[in-house]
Amino acid sequence: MLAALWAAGRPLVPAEVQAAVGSDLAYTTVMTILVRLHDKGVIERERAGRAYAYQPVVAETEVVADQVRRLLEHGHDRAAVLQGLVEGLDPGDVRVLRELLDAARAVRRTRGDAG
Amino acid sequence: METVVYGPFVLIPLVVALSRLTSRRLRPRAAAWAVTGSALAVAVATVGSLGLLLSPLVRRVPLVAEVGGWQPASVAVRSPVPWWISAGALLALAALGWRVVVWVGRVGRDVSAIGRVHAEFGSGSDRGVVVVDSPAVGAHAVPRTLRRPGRVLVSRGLLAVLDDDEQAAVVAHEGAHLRHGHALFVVAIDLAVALNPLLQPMGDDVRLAVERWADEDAGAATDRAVMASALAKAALATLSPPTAAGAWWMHLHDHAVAVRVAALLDEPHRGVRAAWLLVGIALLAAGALVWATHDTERFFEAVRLFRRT
Repeated sequence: MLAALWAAGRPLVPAEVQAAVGSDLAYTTVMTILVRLHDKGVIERERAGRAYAYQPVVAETEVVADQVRRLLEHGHDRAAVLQGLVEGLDPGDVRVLRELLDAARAVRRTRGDAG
Repeated sequence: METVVYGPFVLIPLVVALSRLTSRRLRPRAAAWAVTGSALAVAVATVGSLGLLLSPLVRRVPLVAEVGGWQPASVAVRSPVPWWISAGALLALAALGWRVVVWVGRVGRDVSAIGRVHAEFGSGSDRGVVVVDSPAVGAHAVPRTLRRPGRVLVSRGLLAVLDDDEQAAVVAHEGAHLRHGHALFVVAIDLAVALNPLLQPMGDDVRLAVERWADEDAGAATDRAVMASALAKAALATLSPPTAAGAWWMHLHDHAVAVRVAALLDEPHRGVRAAWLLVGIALLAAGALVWATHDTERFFEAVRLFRRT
């Protein structure tokens, strides 16, 4: 959903978000998620007629050329000071990471139940 | 001068071992500062010590002795540093000088690469996240330059494997890199490693510390478990890239991602005590250098007096 807002590059009303996401999410579900993201401060909203139009707080999409794409596809050795999100993964870590991911999911589920 | 001049070298294994511990067990912000600062202090102190070890050889050069007003032979006879140690120091300093030249070149290339990346963004808006239309799984923080503010890059490939909350966490993570100037920590530790190759492991430690710093920052802004699952998903996704371009991760065989995810799922590390040990080592290194310099000056003063009598 955040990706849809980024891709739009302009404020979207919930109906447009629903269309952009393209899945069969109910309108109320889209609404709920947007309100939740707004509460978290990830997106901001403005009045657009009777509805609110939402846009990411800091976000935009641009068509970028080779340099940026190469950076993303070949990682850090392009420029040592550009911090990537994950700088390398030992194949032996896969099992460990899968377990950690399960653990993270479990923590999030518990939180979701509690809240 | 005889022994204290070797002091900074003795501190190397100590500072490297403590740095490893610190970068994994401490509050990451404290770890990044302490490891970077102590590495720079020890690196400068070891270079200074090499300079002192070289000095007796330099003072035996006839021209230098002429200017200084002493006899080359009296330095040779009374010097507590054997000539071959001085010669070794000369070779080492030459090699380190070359490494610094390489470091300057690398920083220059990085700065121009950042400039080129900035140049590809439209000039219309000058803040925010750039979503890159690429199947690769990646996110990058592009540091600010003098004229352009920092930017966050996220690929569509990465967004596709994350849910909304995780996407927000990733953007917060990259934003933390920009806000806290993490690129400068990396540049600084690389200089320290250039000046003293024995400090090499501390380069990885600082990189881990700033990543954890950004993880915790983003975790505090969003949720630590969300940040953890975002990291794990991103890392796993790089293993099966939809493009053929994904082999770069094979060059690095550390367990940093797993360490980071595990740290986020654990209680936050709040300790800072080991950081003070690193500060202590930095002070010791600086102290040893000052002391040795003082001793060296006294020694040459003695040589000069010896000549006059």
